[in-house]
Order: sequence, then structure tokens, then C-alpha cells
Amino acid sequence: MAGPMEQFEIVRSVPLSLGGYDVSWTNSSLWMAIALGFVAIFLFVGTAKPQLIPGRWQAAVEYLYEFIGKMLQENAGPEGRRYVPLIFSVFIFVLACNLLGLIPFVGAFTPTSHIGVTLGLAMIVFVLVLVVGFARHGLHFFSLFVPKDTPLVLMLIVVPIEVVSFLSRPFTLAIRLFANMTAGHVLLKVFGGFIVALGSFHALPYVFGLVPLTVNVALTALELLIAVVQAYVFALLASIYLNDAINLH
Amino acid sequence: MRRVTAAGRMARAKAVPISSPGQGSRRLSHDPLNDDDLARRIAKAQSDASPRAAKREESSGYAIGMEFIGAVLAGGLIGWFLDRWLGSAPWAMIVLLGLGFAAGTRNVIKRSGQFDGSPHDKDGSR
Repeated sequence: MAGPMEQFEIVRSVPLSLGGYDVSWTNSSLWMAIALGFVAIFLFVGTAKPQLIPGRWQAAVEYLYEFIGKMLQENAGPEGRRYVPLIFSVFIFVLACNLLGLIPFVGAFTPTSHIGVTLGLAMIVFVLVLVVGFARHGLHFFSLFVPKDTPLVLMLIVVPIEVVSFLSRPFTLAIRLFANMTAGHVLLKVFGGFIVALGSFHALPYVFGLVPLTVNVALTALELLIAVVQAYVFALLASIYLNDAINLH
Repeated sequence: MRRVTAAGRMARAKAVPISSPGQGSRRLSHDPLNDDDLARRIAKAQSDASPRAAKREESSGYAIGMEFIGAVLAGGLIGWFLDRWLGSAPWAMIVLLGLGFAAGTRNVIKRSGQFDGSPHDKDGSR
């Protein structure tokens, strides 16, 4: 019986090395590529024959796009609409990774259950916020770290706290997604282990295994919800951080 | 008794024909999309844009705890790198861990909606 943490193991399929760095093709890369493939098929089919009255695929693509567009408009103002392409890409990539990782029997791997992946995505958002902030406001962007009406004496304490709080954003963003994905998959595996352990009771085989099986079915539904909600939360927080860069509070 | 009921009946009889055309004309003077409908549609559009499940997820203690951990971790990491860069043994990490703790507490207070960050809002009872 596999341990609950074995599902997160990175396996090198094609060992590669580039300039002293290990850039091997792994199961994580494979599932990221599969996620990208699914997203590409979904978007290409949906936009292949655009019609005034959309069909099912086109309606689904348009709905997702407008969902992100509306969210940015609401949280970052009309200017936020300009960043829909990036936030949409991040959202749909995270969503595809989260959902595909839940498929049983095919050896699915969830790239978003690794903090390296989520921190990378969070850093993209963080760097974007910095670039947009400095491009739009120049050095005035630093006023983000000075809350309104702060007495001069308190600035010595408040400004460093604000700076650390600002720098902590990519970490919270990354840890949130990573922790949710990891915890969910561990829980599924642990209850899967219970099914085997309880179901192999000699005097009355299979019967007791039904209890954790029921729990696992319910947990799978919950994990589907969490997969979607966490992708949404990631995009939502990214747009809230963008708001700071665009409008400086 | 009879007089009172008669007066009551009269008042009622008076009230009905006067009030009903008044309401009718007021209703007609409004445009077809009256305010109630517009407000309802705005509320619906807003609730559509921010799903309830995500909102609940966001205000849960779990997400707030994440906010705290992130800040402490960020402070510690920045301090560690500063120490490595400046060679100032444990000091930058100690100071920045403290700052990270403060920033985390601030994040938690901000996110849990106890106050909205404006210094004039002294009402902490909410």
C-alpha cells in the first residue's frame, strides 16, 4: 500500500541538464503540459468558429473570459481590464492543473501541489505588480508603504511592517494554493488506505471498507470544489494586488 | 357605536378612491425599469461576480492563518538572505522575524474585518 506522500514524488522521465541546473522532464512537467494541452483544445475549439449566438463551447469560453474580466473590473477598476490576458492565463492554468490532478487511475499528478510551482506563479504576479506599480507611479509607488495620517514617530515601525507585509504576498499566495492541494490529496489517500485496511478484515470482508469509501466519494466532491475555488482565489488575490499597483489604494 | 362605524366606513370609502388613482399615476410616471428592479439586478450581478463559496473560503480561519504564516515566513526568509549577504550573523533574521510577526498580526486583523484600516474608524466593537 502506497504511503499518502508518495503521490507527490517527482520522477525524472528524461534527465536533462542545462548550465549546471537540473531541467529534467518529470511527471510534473508532463502534467503541466497535459493541462496546457487541455486548455489549448478548450480555447481553440471554443473560438474556432465564432458566432453571434454562441454554441456550447463558445459560450463556455466566453463565460470564463467574462468572469475574469468582471472580477478584474470590480477589484482593480476599468484599468484592470488591461491585465485580463495574464490573470486569465494564470487562472485557467491553475484550474486545469487542479482539476486534472484529481483524475483517478491514470497516475495523475498535481503540479500545483508543489510549492515550487505555486511560488513561481505567485512570483509572476508579484513581479507584474512591481513593474506596473513603478511604471505607472514611479517612486511615488513607495507611498503604498505609508498609511494615511501616520505620525512621523510611528513611521519607523509602521513602514518596515508594511514592507514585510507587502513582501509576504507572494508567499501567502503560494502557500495557500499549495497547502490546499497537498492537504486534499493527502486526505484522499489516507481514506483510501482506510478502505483497504478496514475492507480486509477477515471475518467480514469488504463491509467495513464501505464507510471510508463513502467518505472518499464525498471528499472527492469537496476536492472538486476546492480545486475550482482555489484557482478563483488565486486570480482574485492577484487582481486585488494589481489594484494596489494601479490605484495606490 | 353606529356613528363611529359610519364615520369609519366613510373614511374608508374616502380613502380608497383617493389613494388608488394616486398610486396608479405614480406607478405610471416611473419608467418601466423601476428602482427596485434595478437594485435587485445590481445585487444579483454583484453576487454573480464574487461566488459565495469563495467568500466563505476567504473569511475562514484557515485562510487567515495562512496569511499569518506567510508573513512570518517572508520575514524569516528575507532576514536569512540579508544575513548571508551582509554577514551580520543572526541579527537581520531576528529583527525581520519580529517584523514578520507584526506584519502577520496586522494581516490577520485587516483580513478578519475587525476594522477597515482607516485610522478614524475607532469603533472596535464590531
